[in-house]
Amino acid sequence: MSFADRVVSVTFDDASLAVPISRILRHCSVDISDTSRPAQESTFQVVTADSSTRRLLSGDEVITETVNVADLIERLIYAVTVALGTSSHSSLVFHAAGLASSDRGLLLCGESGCGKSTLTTTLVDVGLDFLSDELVAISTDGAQMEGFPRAIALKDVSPFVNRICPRVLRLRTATTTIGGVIYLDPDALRSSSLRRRATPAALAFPRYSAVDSPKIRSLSPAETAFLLLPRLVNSQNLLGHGFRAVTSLARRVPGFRLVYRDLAQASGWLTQIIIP
Amino acid sequence: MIDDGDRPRPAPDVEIDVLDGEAVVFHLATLQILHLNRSAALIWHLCNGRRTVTEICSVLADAYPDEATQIALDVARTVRVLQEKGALVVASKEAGDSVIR
Repeated sequence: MSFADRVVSVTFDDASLAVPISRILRHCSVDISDTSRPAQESTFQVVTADSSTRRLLSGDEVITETVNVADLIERLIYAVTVALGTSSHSSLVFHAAGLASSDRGLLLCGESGCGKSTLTTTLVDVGLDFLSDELVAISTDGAQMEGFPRAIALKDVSPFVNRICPRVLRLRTATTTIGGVIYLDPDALRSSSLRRRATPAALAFPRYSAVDSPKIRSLSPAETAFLLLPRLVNSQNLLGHGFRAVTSLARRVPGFRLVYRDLAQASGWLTQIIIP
Repeated sequence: MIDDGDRPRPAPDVEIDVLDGEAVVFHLATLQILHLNRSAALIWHLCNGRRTVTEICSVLADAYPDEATQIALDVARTVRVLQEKGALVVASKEAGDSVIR
């Protein structure tokens, strides 16, 4: 798998374990004939320790050893995501969702639980292209964004998703359930919705609230930078912790703060922002 | 407690970027991030380690004469908060004996 300037490989001694992983990460694979890609950086191995126990290794380090296959797969997905996201040295990598309309890219930033994946699902369903619901890399000049196109992870199958996207749960061939998380192939949600890159055009900071009044407002560049900096996951690898690059991005790309309680309203606001 | 004779200045290891009159402050050691609105950014700009708090208030009062009372309160509060968050250091007024608090 590749993302930003990193490559990760995973090997299995039990092919049956590779099946769910391949479905979740099938859009993340790297073209091995692409010589412009960097050399392999991180490797993980899933090996059978005994008849019921599997071990996840990174080099010689044992990350986990378990009899629970779901737990193993979750740990592997997490380890791969962290390896790709935190080790980049040449891009700003954000814990964020990425979508696009034509080449105009939208970054959705927020803490876990703010509804990024649910919003992402809704926005893909209404016509935006999918880059990622987890990691987005933006070049330090702010000119290009790239998504990590792992399957959409719906941690909470909320009534909103069932109402807005009733097809989601019926797409059994396109979903993989691991440990209570539904991984949804965005290509099955809407064909040809996958896009690897776009030009950053808007930065949004959504927050779901059943109590607060729904609203959307433009942010000043300083407010945008202030909200964006904590979402940077590879700051330790960047010059000055990426501070100047992020403030520069905030100068170039407008930011918006949303408080929403209705998915349709939020997706309407966001599509208005991104579709010229 | 901030005294009128204190001379606040930016702490070491602090970076600041001014965007449209507001500012974002980043502490390289603690990784703390602060957002300063226009008023706070202006106060920060005046904290150069040479001006006393009184002189900072005076500069602002000259620019905004109707706000003199509020300015004194804002400057004291802003300097105190920024000091507490490690973005400013404050030297006292005692002659020949700078103390960092």
